[in-house]
Amino acid sequence: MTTPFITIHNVETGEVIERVMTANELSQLQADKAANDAAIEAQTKAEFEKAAILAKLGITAEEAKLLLS
Amino acid sequence: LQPGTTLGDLAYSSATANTNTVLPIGTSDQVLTVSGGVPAWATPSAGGMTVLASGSLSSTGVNLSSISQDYIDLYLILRNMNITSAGQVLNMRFNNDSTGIYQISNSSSNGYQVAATSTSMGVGIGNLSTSGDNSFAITINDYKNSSFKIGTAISATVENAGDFGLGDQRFMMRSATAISEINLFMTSGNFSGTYILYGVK
Repeated sequence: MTTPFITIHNVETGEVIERVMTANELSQLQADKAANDAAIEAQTKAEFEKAAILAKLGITAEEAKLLLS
Repeated sequence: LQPGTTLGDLAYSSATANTNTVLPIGTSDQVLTVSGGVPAWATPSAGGMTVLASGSLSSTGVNLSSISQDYIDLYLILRNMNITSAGQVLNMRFNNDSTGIYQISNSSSNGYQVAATSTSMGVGIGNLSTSGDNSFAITINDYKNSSFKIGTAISATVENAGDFGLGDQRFMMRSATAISEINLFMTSGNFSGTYILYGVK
């Protein structure tokens, strides 16, 4: 896998540099990726569970919204 | 009062009885004000929006560092943003602070109790496709104050499922430190597009 790059734009001086991520930055990126993946998995699971409940009740998502409004 | 002899000059009463003072015409765009109890021309202080930085989104992340503390709000525009690895969300944090101090709402849940313990903020609806000209307009209010930071993020994106996402989010950073750096990043692949950062007075 290619090491990711990061761009640093110093707003005060206007200097822009692009460099390979440091070990610390790579470690943080992996942690961020794990957190994002977990969030997506939780969202997918919640949507699956919601669909299962709707199927059990035999109503659509719109009907459920109407019911709760 | 006797009129002046030079185009645009003004005369006003001085402190000495029956004596007038001539105020020469100012320069273009100057406005008439009062200084020391007498009329004076002055250049109005700059207001509105100032471009602080602009450039291309590239790499896995872009850090906008050393942001001036001379403004009230920051306004960040991302145009034609696209990604190389589908199914992600645009991540944002401030001051490169990756501790659990963030919260960002989703589009349908504003005004609710939050934990504010996320380590970054997912801007937009998420699950981005690789074929979008995605747009983001992010406002960071009162960014240099010594209390919690707040802001809004509006986005128009193309989702991986083929839908379009209209994001209307509020966010907070549970920190009293002034914002001097904005960190934008993907967790996989690169992004492309352009950014413009404005300072707003």
